[in-house]
Amino acid sequence: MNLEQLSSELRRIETEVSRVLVGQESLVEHVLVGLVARGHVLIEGVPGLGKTLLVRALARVLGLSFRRIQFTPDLMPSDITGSTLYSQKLGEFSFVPGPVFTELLLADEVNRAPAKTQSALLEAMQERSVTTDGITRPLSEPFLVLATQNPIESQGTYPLPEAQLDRFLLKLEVGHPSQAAEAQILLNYVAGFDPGELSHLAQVSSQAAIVEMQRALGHIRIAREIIDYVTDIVRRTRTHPSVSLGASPRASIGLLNVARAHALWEGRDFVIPDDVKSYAHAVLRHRLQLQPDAELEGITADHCVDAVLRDAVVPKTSA
Amino acid sequence: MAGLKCSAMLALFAVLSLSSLARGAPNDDPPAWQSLPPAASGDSVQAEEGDEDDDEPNDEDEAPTNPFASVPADGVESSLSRALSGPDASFCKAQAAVRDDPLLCSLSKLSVRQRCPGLRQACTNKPVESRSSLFGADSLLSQGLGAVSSLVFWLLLAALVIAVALALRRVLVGAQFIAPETAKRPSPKSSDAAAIAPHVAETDVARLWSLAEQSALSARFEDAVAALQAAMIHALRMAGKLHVSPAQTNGDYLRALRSDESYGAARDVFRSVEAVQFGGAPASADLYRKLFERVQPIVVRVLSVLFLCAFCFGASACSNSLSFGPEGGGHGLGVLTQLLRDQQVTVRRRIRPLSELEPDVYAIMVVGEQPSEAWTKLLEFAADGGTLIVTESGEELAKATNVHYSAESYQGRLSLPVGFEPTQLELSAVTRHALDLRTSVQSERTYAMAGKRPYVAERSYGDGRVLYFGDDEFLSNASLSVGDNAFFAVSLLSGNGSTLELVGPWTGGGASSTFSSLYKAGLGALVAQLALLAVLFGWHGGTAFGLRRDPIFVRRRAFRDHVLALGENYRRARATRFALATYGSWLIERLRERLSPQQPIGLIELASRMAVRVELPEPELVLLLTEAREAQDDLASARPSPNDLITLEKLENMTLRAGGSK
Repeated sequence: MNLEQLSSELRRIETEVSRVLVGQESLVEHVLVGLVARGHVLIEGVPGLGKTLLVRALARVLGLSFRRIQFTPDLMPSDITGSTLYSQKLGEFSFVPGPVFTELLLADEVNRAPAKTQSALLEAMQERSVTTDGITRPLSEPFLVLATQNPIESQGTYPLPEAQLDRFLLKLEVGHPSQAAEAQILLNYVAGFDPGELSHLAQVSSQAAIVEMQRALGHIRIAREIIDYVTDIVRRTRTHPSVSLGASPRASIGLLNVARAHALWEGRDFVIPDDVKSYAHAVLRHRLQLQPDAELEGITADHCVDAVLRDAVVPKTSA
Repeated sequence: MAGLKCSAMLALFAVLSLSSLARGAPNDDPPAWQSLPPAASGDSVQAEEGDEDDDEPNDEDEAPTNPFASVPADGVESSLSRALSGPDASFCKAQAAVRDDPLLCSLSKLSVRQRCPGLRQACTNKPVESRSSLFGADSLLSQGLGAVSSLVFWLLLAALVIAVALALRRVLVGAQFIAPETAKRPSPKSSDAAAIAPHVAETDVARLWSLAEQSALSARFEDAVAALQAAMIHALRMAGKLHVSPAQTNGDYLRALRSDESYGAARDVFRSVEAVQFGGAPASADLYRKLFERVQPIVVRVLSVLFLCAFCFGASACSNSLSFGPEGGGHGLGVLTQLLRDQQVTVRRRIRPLSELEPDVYAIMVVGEQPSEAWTKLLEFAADGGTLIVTESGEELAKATNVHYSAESYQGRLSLPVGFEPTQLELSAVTRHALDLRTSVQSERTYAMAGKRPYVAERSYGDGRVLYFGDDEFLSNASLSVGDNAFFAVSLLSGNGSTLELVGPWTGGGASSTFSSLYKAGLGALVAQLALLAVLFGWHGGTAFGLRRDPIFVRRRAFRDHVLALGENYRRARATRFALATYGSWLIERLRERLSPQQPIGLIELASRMAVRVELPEPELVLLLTEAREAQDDLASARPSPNDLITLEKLENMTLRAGGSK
């Protein structure tokens, strides 16, 4: 498939998922871009906004396998990765894969599990493989983790450390749908929509197509000016007065990959500055550690990214 | 195009010079400066009065020089100088009758002394070449040459206007790009490309458009399409549709234009230019032509609106200055005012009513029509010894002085009455009226004639006098630049160190109160509406229009504020017990270090020592310390209490009173 066909297939996926996930088109686009960029997505939002429905619908439309893990304080690493059990029938130890051996994984309320359990998942995210009992088992391709966390409650939670947050390519903040979208949701329910039953969704893509999309990123052209623009943005996060720890080089790579994926989404074979700028918040917001003073002033990471984007000069600008 | 413009301007300048030369010889008389005395400073004038006979031969012996080489040809200086530089350099010197006239005599001296301070120095300048006799006579040749020059001038001007219009049309309206026939230049190296790339800070649409055109003609299409895109962006900025900044991407601009009619064109242009700039797509003449057709309507539309607005604004500004600016423009009185001020005459507009005239006012000049009651006051002023200067007829004036303005079309040079010919003043006017002095009286004097009728005359009235000018245009800025009009007018109107007031429609128009001012300014209805709106607003929303708030000063918070904010976060997280346990135990340890540094003591002993230090009951302190310790012991099981932070704050206060935590 050429770029135009890949782009139209992405659009078809978005359209199909939006049939059941009303009013979250931007979220669907960002998740798909993250999937194509071979990254993982952290979604922050209050319960009831359709995060689980998104992943299930996505798995259905993409034809990918889907597993869900509800993170709790007593969740163990082996509950994620799987463990070796002794089979009395066979008289030997055999490995029972955990839910991480899937293509789409929903890690619900990931910050409710202790750091040890979180790190088990994060290792799988980074290495795309799981090592148990000295044996490394690769995960399937594609492998996308959608982790969610609630921004309101903080008691009894284990906030993800910055080093672990860095593993997520995108952090998306899900807001409430508009009034019109919410009315459409209600109309769907009145018409008999059952979120547990998604069989009416058509599979418009496949695992092979997703992998092809991921490989096609290598053919997306990146001008030198774009690379300078990305590095300029990331460098400015490190010198911003309200930021104590700026974005890492991994963030630069992530921003570049996401820009490529967005160019593919748009059907272009080259990256433009708008690809970078439009995804800067999602890529950078969870990688910035703010100064205590700034936090007390109510300054957020998004404010800092805004300031950085206001100062960074767009390449070949007409201004 | 630039060469054509340059040639046209040069030709225009040459024709103008020729025309001015041809028109510079009005009659057969020799130039005034040829017979001018060598020096005419104030000192020399005084010497002339006492020693006339000695001076005259010297005047004739002097070689002809050009004393006014530094004086503009048609300026007021020239007007005054010519009058003073004639064969009779001084009125006092020429005719006894004129010399006896105290007004003209004194003013001629004054003019020499004050209006021409550089006269003496100018007289010593090198002579300029004598004008050719060809132009020195009012010959047919010179007249014909002048006419031809005028014709050529207008033809060239018309050609220039047409050329500019065609150039604008070609650039903006009907332009079509024709690709250069020459082979495309080799692509410059990156460093060269950076050097010839359009300047990023260029924001002028016309220059960007021109840059795009030049780049396209040079086959540098990458620069050309970039300049076209920049021209479109800045045209939209000028139309108020975009906010342009170096941090804005094309996507930002498109989002701002989402509901605008130019969205489609802008999207196409952005996509194409981005493909060239970032996608490595080749920039060709076809692409340039395609983008040109997309950008052209946007730029032309914006520039047309701007030109139209500028034209309307300029037209309104011009009309305002002509209609309401009595000082400026050809019809204004600014030159006369300035000349009189140079003669130490205070010239001011009279705003207050005429009923309260100041004693230092020696003359009043009436500009425009006046109501009858104003004429009554003005005539009273003249009867009491003042000078009334009028330029238009009034019914009351005609009744009182028996002088009428007769409508009589006259144009051209004014003649001098008997007794004033030696002054050789050259006066001219475009007049609509002449004076009809119906009843001759002895105290009447005519200064200038329009044909056979008086044009400037003076008639006594009571103890004062009334000075008539046949037309108000005679004293205008344009008129004073002609001939000797300026000198003549200043001679008649100036008075040493006195005050001349201009009375016109503005007189008596001052407001006596704020309400009167608003009414006269035509703002009464507006203010009434605003007041009504304020009343309705207050009625609807109460008396307070808004809450008073102190300005927010961003300042750096103290550490205590941070601690309090942290405590607030603990409270929100229902973790106050944790805060009391950790921070409380830390405070207790600090108290122990301070009150018993040598050996560890229990809580009871600590409370006892604290009671001595802070002068509080010991049981209260025991309770406080115990609560802090219990929080540490049952951290896992106890539920958070709102009193935790209060206990913590009390403990902190006790620590401070006991000497602090350090």
